[in-house]
Amino acid sequence: MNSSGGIQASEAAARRLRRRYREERRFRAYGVGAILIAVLALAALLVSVGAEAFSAFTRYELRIPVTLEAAVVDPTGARDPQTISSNSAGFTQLVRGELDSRFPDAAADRNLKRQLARLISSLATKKLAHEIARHPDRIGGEVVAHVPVSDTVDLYLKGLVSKEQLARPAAAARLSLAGEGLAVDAAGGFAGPYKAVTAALSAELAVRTAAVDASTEAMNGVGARIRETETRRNDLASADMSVLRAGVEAIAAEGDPDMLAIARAAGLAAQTGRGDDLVARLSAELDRLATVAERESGDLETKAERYVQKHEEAVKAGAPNAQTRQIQARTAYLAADRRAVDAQRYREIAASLPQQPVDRQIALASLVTGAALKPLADVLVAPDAGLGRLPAALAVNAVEQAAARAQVEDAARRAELIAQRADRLRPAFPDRAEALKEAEDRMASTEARADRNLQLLVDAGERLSALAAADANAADADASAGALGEEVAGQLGLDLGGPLAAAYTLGQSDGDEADADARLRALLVAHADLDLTYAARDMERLTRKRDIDGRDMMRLQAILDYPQAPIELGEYLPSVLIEVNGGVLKVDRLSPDRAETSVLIPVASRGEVASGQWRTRVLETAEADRLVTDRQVAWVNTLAAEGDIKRVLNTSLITHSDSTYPELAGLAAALTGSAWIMLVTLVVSLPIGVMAAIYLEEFAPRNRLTDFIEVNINNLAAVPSIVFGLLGAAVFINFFGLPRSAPVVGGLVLSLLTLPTIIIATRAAIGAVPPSIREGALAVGASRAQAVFHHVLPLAAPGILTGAIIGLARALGETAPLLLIGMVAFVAEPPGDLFDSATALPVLVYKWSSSAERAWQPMTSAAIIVLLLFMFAMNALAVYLRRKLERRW
Amino acid sequence: MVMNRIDPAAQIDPEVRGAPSAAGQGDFKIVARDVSVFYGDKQALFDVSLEVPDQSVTALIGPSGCGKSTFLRCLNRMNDTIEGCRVQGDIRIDGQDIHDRSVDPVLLRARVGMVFQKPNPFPKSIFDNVAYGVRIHGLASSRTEIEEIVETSLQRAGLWAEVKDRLHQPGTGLSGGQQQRLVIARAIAVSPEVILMDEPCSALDPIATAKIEELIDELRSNYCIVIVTHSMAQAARVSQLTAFFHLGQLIETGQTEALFTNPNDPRTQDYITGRFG
Repeated sequence: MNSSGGIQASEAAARRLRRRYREERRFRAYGVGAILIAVLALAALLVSVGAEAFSAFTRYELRIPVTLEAAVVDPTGARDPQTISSNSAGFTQLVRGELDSRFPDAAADRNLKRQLARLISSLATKKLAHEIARHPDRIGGEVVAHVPVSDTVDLYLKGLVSKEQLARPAAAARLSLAGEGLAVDAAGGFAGPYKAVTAALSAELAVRTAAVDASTEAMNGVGARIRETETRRNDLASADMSVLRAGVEAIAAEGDPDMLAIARAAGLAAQTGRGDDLVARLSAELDRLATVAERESGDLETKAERYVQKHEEAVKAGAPNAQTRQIQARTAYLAADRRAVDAQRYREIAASLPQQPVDRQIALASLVTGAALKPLADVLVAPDAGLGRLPAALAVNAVEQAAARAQVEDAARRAELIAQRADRLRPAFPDRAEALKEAEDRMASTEARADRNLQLLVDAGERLSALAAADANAADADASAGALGEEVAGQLGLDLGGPLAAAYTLGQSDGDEADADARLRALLVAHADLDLTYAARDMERLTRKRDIDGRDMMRLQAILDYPQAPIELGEYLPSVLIEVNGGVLKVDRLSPDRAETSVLIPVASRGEVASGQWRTRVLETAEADRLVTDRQVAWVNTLAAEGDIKRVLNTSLITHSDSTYPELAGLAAALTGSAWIMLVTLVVSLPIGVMAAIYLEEFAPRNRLTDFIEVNINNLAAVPSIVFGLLGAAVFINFFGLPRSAPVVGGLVLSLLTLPTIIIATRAAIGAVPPSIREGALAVGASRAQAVFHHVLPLAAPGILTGAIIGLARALGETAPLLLIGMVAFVAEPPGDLFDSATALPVLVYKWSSSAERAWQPMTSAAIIVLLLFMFAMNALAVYLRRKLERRW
Repeated sequence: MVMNRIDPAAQIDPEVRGAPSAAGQGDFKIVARDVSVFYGDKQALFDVSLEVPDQSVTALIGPSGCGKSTFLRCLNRMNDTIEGCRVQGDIRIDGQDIHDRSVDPVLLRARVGMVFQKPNPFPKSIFDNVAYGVRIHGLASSRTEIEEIVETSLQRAGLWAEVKDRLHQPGTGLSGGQQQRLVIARAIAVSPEVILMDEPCSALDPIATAKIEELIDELRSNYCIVIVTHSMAQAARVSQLTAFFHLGQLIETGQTEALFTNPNDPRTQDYITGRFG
């Protein structure tokens, strides 16, 4: 080749060529990467589901010879198959009796007997009962009963309950009596189990240590908060007016501005003796409250009238909800009445405000803001004013009693109003006496509440007086009075350092600068004290928790510090079992060389046991954390060792239907249901879909209408499946009255779902048939329909079938629409026909996956695997059909 | 699966069938008057009038898009199957107006067979391909009769010798030229009177083309054949009459020899001498 010219000529061309190769390589890499990701995702799915499902494909079965005692199995003696087969309880009794005789020491104890009985499933003997019912001649003889073990035992045997360590220690063991149980001595024989136990202890120690650390850290935080608050409190002594004011204003900033403004005006009024501002603010607020209450009352009354009307209609129609309507009417009327009284009271108070003395105005302001304003301020300022706590508390109490009396008066007035309005309740209370009684009840309760408050204050006042009269040590009395004041404040819901008090104090200092700084300082001190109280409470709680964790930590540490020390196992540590001489011992106290045990299954003999002749079994999950007890473990392992428990193929997964017991549940009903549903879907959607597609593709004129239909078929394919479920429930069940949870409804709903898919696939397949075929047929004188049915359809068939099967496969996996038509019901029998109650595979998967018990997890995965197999089979069929039909020409 | 067993012959007016002259169109098999074709708003053919004699080959030539295929498809109402296509004017075959209400287009197509540019055998066996038309029109009453018709048709199409041992193998497995002859056999099987050919050789190699041309020449004695072709050589070889189309108009018709040697219209002259097209 000539190197100076030709195709190698230019450097630029070579560069372009390299770039092209690079791009091609890159795109190939993208493709390979995408496929790898897809394959990995599929593999991950299959592995994760498959690994979980694997354990559900087998199950453990107890095989135990039982003598079929006629008296138990067939108490009537009639040998009636019906009676025998429904008497599975009798068979269960026999099997349990057999187990009891195997482990006689367990049979003596009620609790142990129950544990033993729970080795097998409650309904496990159903199958045996059916079998014997078919061969009644076997009664009286001996049969080997094949009984599924209970789900927890099954999970244990499959290793899903606890990690287990089995070891045959290379040391001889000596068994000797020790107290109630046996002691086992083996030099270093328990090193393995001891290590497992110390590992568990170490893990626990780490948890406790972390908890102690967390508590300590939180305590440091609280300590810092306390120190900071104390500093703040101390600094108040030297703070100047502007700092004090800013501090109080910051506190007052939190809260409802309207209420705070009233509180501030009240403070001002208290200090200056002029209540104009307060009256203005209070009136405005009362007016607002009254308007709101009136509106609500009106609304409630309208509602009440409606209920009365409904009640009357219901009475006329003899409907059962008449009583409910009446109660609703009454409740609404009473609520309306209560708000009306509120409104009236607000207006009365507002009207009377200007004529009241200032003290009274402040008391009413307290009523509106919900906190006794004046006493708050007084109690704050008192200690600093040199009064001492006791006299201050007495003074406050007196004022508060006055406020409480005002409240009692208010209650009395309300009672009056309620009585006046009793007539208005008439529509709901045709009997006037009844209405009055209702009103009286409410009057009484309102007054009682006010009285209770007053009484509380009177009591506190008496105790304070008693303290004063006792003339005890002044400091003690002060402290008691302080505590009592706080107690009363707590009961009345006063917030000593809170925003309302702050606003009130600000109002006071607005009115009179004289002792303003003292007041403000007092409030800030109270606020800081409040913070300190909360912090102290937090500190106490944290300390308590840290101490408990710390004690545990030290205890665990102490055990771990002595490497050979015996450890008490208890139910919160791993269990260690010793299998020796045909018996099983549970270790209570363990050291590397010696185990003190209690007997779970008696040993044949004591004395020396050679190494290799005994073994230890460690269950790492503590007994308290699992459903299988140590004793059950001992029994099950003994039975398994004797060959009485066998792992068998879980055929009931296919032959049984749903059950509340996972070990007995199966997919039969769901499989049948799904098959029925698929049949209905196929029969309904394939012909309709194919015909629609043929019409649209071959016969329909191209116009706006067909365009519209085409767009909407595509839209339909994109509609979320749950919407079809709603539609199905509304149309097929409610309108056509088809039975709920029937395969026919499920099939119809899923047909709606698959129709667009089939139509689209069919149209694509028909569109792919070359037009020359159609023309050829037309040219020899075939009609349009002949051309379609003789030539186009056979050519399009593979595509149509593929589309239909893929649509069906999608429908097979649908859950949401089936849930909405009630297919989620518990179905214990495979459906007999299209109108029977049924469920479907994906719905069963959904249902099982939401069950809590551990044993449902493998069952769910197994169901998923079966569903996937079903789908893969359908897809494989699609591929096969396409290949076969396409190969024809 | 035969959907419509109607004898096409029964539908056609016996008077028309038997006596073309009765309709006053002389010796011509097909008489087209003022045929205009519209695709939507676009007019593709302008007032074409043409007479086609029986037992002869008439070639329609002209540059691409001149309307010759459109005119051909008017003759068996294939244009009816195209949406938005409208045909005006009067076309008579044996004096019978093919647009008459009494004429069923499907039966018309049995009388006027058509062969397309690209061989389009059905994806069925060779036998079924030929037998299809026979079956749907109920032209045979027994299996033997069908076999006879198939054999005759294949023989007339010159394919029998090549395929007689593999009648039940797919027609799509044949070579291009064989496929085209199979399609012709398929058309002949329903015993049409007219055979329309739309560039039947344009997808074939020269040897296959020669065979088809030979076949056309043989068929001439029994049928009225109208052929659209791009190849002027082919037109000269196979046709007795030639019509030259240009831009939707029929420019000139005449005896093939005369038209090629002594065209009247300068456009024909230009086309024949290769100035355009």
